[in-house]
Amino acid sequence: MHDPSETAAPGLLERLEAGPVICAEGYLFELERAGYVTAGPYVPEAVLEHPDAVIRLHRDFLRAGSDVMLAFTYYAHREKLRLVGKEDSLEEMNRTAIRLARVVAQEGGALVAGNVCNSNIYVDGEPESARTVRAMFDEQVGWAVDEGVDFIVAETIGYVSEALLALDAIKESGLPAVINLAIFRDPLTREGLTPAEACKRLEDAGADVVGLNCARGPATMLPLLRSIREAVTCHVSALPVAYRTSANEPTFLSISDADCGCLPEGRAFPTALDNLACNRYEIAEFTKAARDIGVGYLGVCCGAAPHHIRSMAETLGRRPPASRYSPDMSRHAYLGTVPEIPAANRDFVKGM
Amino acid sequence: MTDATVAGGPGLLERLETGPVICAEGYLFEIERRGYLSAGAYVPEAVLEHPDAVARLHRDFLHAGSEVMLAFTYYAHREKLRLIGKEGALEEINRTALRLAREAALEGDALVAGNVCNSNIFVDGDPESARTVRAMFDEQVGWAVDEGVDFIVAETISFVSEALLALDAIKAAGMPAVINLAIHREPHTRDGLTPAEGAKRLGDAGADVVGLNCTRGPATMLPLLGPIRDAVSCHVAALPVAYRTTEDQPSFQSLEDPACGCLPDGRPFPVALDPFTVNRYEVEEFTRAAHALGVNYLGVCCGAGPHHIRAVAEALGRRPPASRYSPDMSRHAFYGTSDQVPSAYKDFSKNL
Repeated sequence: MHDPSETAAPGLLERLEAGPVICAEGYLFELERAGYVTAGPYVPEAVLEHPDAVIRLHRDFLRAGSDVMLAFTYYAHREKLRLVGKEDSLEEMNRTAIRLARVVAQEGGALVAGNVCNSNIYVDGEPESARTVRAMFDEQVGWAVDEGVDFIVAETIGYVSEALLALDAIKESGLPAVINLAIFRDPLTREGLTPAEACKRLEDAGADVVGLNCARGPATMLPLLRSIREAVTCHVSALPVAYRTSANEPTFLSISDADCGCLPEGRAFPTALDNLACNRYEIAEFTKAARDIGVGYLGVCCGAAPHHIRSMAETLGRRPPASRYSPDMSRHAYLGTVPEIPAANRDFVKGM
Repeated sequence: MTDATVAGGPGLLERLETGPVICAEGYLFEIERRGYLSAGAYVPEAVLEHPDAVARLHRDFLHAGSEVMLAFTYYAHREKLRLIGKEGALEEINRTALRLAREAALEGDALVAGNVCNSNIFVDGDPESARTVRAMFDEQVGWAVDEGVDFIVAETISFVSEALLALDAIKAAGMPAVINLAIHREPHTRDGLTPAEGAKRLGDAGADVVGLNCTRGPATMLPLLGPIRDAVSCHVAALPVAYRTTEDQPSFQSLEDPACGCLPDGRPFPVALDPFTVNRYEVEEFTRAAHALGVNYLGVCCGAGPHHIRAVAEALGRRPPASRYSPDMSRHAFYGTSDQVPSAYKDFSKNL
């Protein structure tokens, strides 16, 4: 099977047959950290107001080894824009975001993905909300197809029934569909299915890749992946947040920070998670473990930075352009081992 | 007193007379995180190989409220370039870094600062090493003056005797001098002075601003600042690393991470410090506390992200351009208080 990409290079499904595919995510958090996105509403206004900052992050991720440039249309949907009073810039934001992703993808032979996500107004079992949400997916998918994406990701969705609406919208457009569920504190979807049952339903409905993104860090997402891999025959994805979640606090929303009395609402999420971040070696360990289980579509979600993505790529045996700058402690001024390091500096290491 | 500046506004000393000045640092670590600089050697080769990435970070910091664009010449000195076999590029790295800082400064009326630093070959009491190090400072200061900086920072120096060489080089060039010492595990300089004694000697020798940068986080730098403020009559600087250091592990080099068995050298420093990063609220607290002590040249060193710099600015009552995107949790999809957030989603926030 062949799905020609933008650049006539192999498409998503062909690449997945040949080996793992890396997709960097986390644009919202990284651009919030950089000062171009507002935490709270989390609408990607930067696409229109600071396109240079969005391009820069795409390029950082491309160089770090991301095989996919995910258009920054997360939360660029009608409900979110209504909430910030900017519904009239909806189409322009979507089209511009896809063009930014495409410009950078072409610099490095990457795939371009459209992106739809949790609507935040879906009510399970209510046909009226299903119609509204489906129309939101349809318009975003339409713009993505029109701008020539290679495939579409629907993600961070807590209801399988909502995810099925997104899947249906994507399949109607004829593009490959990656469907990622967000699993919160209880290890179930919001309508009470296990992640494995939910992924099976999505596969049966035609998803090309099913799995999990967001909400959980590597430590608490990993235990859910094997049962998903066993339940489905299609490709499986895993894109945890880059935070140290635990059995007691399995999501980055529930994580606490006992060492800091300075949090405005007593909660580390979303703007005080810094000291709960995973280092690059933890991302390497997650990548190895998920790969061993048979996960083929890998990435990092909120909290991801280029050093995490490079770590993922290197763990998969790759050497992306940013590997030119991977650590080489042999030439550190104090900790270095090369003969040029003065002995007095090495002796000072214990005093540093 | 007025000193004409690159961007045409008031100079460093005039600004310090009227209020605090913010200087974002941490270029080495942030550009390493973004994948354009190698940890270990830590030479700012990105200046020549990826000037767009350096310009981007200058612009991010400017947007976040930094009033100084510090030229990225930290470790762009003869000894470091010798270590990586690129002495031939020394002058070009310095001049290009200074021009990148100047271009960004002109976009926002910021000051441009040259930067010299720890030589790593200074041996206290050895006249030959003092001559070599002085020549290293002289050549970098010469290029900075030639490229038209507003003042020069000498930083991360842990011997007062070495800092005095840098100060002398800067004063000989007729530029205002900011001299920042790095205080490691023991709370004194490597020549055995208390930070206050070290700062006093530098103030007496003509430094315009004296203080501390790097090595220690907010929690372990703050206790050293009161005595410095009391000991000198000039302006005082404080630029901690953005990490949670403790009394037992007062420097970011001495931090240990029992939660992670995956560290290649068993030490989080320098490339696995993520889970020690301070959040923006801790930076605000530090800024307020340091300013209350009379510290008026404020910033953040290694580990700083633009969100930290915006926190410094906002703690000082400023509203830099990035404050347009400061958090507003009232419109979060689950935690929001706005009437527009559906109550079913508000109710689910306890399960997130």
